[in-house]
Amino acid sequence: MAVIEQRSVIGVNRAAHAQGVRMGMSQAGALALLPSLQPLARDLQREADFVRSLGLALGALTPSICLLGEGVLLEVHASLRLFGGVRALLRRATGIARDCGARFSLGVAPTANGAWLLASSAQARRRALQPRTAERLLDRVPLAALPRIVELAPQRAELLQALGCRSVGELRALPRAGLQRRLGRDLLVALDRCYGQAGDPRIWFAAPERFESRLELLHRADDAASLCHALHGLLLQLQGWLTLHWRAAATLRLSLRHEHGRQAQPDTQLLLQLSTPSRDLAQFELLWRERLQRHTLAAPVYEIALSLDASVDHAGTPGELLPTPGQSQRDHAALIDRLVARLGAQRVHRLALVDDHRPEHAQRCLSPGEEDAPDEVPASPLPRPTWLLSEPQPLASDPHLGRPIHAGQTLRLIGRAERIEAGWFDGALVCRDYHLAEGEDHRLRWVFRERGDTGDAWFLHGVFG
Amino acid sequence: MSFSAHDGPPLPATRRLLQPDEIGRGALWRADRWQRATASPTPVGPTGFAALDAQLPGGGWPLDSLIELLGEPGSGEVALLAPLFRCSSAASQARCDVLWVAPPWCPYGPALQTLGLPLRHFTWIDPACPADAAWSAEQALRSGACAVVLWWSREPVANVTLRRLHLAAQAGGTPLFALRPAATRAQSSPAPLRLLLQSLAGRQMAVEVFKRRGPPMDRPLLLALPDAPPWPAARRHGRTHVSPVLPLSSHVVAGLPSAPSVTAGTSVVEAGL
Repeated sequence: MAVIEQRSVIGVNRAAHAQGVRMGMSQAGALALLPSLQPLARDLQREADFVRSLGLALGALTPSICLLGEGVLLEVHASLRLFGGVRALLRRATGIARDCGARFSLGVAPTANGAWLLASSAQARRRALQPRTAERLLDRVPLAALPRIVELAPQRAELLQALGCRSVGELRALPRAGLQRRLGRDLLVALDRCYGQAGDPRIWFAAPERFESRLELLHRADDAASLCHALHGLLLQLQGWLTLHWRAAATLRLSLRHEHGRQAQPDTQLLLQLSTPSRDLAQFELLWRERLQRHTLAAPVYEIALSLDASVDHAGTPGELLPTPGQSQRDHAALIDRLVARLGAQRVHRLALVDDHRPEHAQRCLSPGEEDAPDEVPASPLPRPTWLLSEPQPLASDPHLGRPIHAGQTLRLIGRAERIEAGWFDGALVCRDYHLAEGEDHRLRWVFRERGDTGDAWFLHGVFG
Repeated sequence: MSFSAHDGPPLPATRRLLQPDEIGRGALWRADRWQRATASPTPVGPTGFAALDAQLPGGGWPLDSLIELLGEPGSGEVALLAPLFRCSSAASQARCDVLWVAPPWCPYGPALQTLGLPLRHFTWIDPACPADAAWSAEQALRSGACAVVLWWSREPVANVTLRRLHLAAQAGGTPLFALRPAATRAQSSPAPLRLLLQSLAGRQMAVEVFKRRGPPMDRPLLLALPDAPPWPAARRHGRTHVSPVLPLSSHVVAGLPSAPSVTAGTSVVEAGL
């Protein structure tokens, strides 16, 4: 595979490189060398989109981002302490860029232009923190890298090559007035900015107001694992966006686009609601993995799009030496999110009391994110079973004594009956006499008998634990 | 196996042979005695029953391990653990959430309230399959966000799963109570503490600690379960044992017609004899 611009090769992949295709070859020459080569036209729009997504993802490290045509400049001076030094920061930046799918080189210098020039040069050492080190490294940069930092007219570029200088240092040693006359003022200004001898104002990248990002998959995805892998890049961008806007995600939406062919499938929309808004990449990944594993794909996926439906203001998590109760609550919310993502919201319950005498109406199940009312319901003065059967279970009855029989055991009734009679107001009238009953195994049950026309039938309604 | 000093190169510390002089210094635990306190003692939580505390190594529930409670659902296991729930939901605790995984039936809020377990801190889940239940328990343990995790398991569980859950409990510092059928007593288990529960007449229960790091128990322990609401029998007669079986006529409330009567408002009528 090779990328072609104006009939010459400007990029090759590893397989083509192994076959001898090199950058700078003509398209015809490359095709003659390797007939199976797939030429791709350069797509500037997609390049710009990629740089933009990379910039967004790197927004997790610093708010001062500048997008260039083929790269991203980060002003990291203010972030060094937060991320634990320049090494840790560079490790993070490298990780993010690699996870975004970029093949890149990284340069560090006290000036923006200098860093850009070092990153563009093919030198082994491209990182300098002190101005003096930066100057030494920049002096060694070959002149071929200069067009990266300044636009040169063709005849001036030719002149630059004909000067007999090989490195930037040699060029700077020449008389300045002559250089300015022959090569133009722009080149000198760009060089001054590299060395910190001229100001270098930049326009910072402003992240879009709404987060929405899509990714066309290289291969069709049939299973959750490949989707999770593709989703990782989008989640990195989301994390950067959330950091830039000081927000935390509450609801995420993932659209899976299927093939728009003969058997067109509508897009699959998956929603992920977080009980506690979060900005944590690892948590997002875990939740989406569980969510996707639970979902059965209707058709292979060709493109995924992630959008943020709801978010809240979030100033970040302060670093703490000792664990605090708030940390535990966040942990618990993260745990509930994880359980919901795998089991489904209908299987994770919390309970809230309702002031009603009917046992089946005395509580209601809350969905995981729902806020419950405080426990204002007075505790029942009479025994209540630990477990309540969802439906009362009819029990057989002893023909001689009229006692209920459960699981082959005749139950003994303990104590007096508790009459519960309520519900005339909402059509679910209950007239029952409840008893504690003990079986031959001495386990306690809560049984009742309907009062009224239904006869002497016994029902099991609860079990004591 | 011999304890003589060997001649080869020194073995790594974890695999070296015990030296004879170490045997008397707590390096060995003799199974007929209590395990001595180690350098990092297991944190324990009180059971709320002094007699049971005396029978458990360390004097309470170990707070970072798997504990098996065997018995049929309804043998008094929730009442037995209620003091622990109350203790862990105290306001001073950093972690106060209680998770029930796959209980046999739907837990009943008013009863939990009576037990002293605030519903704010209570979550229960009913996973679709045993594998999901074990997964959920492990997640809860590893996250370290819960004070206590209860896990009901009716199906046979592989020892690998139990071992995994025990390690998760250790990693998260959270106790896991596995409530399993009594028939699993004969099977081996990695849990360091195993109890057999059986309910007895008069709201008592027999607890047999049949596996512990200590001498075997000679006879089961009898515990009277404290129940917060006054039990009808106990209140009426002032006795601790069960009242005699009531005659059938006691179910009909004296003086009230047996036809359904619509009462104004809700009422709880205690039918007396």
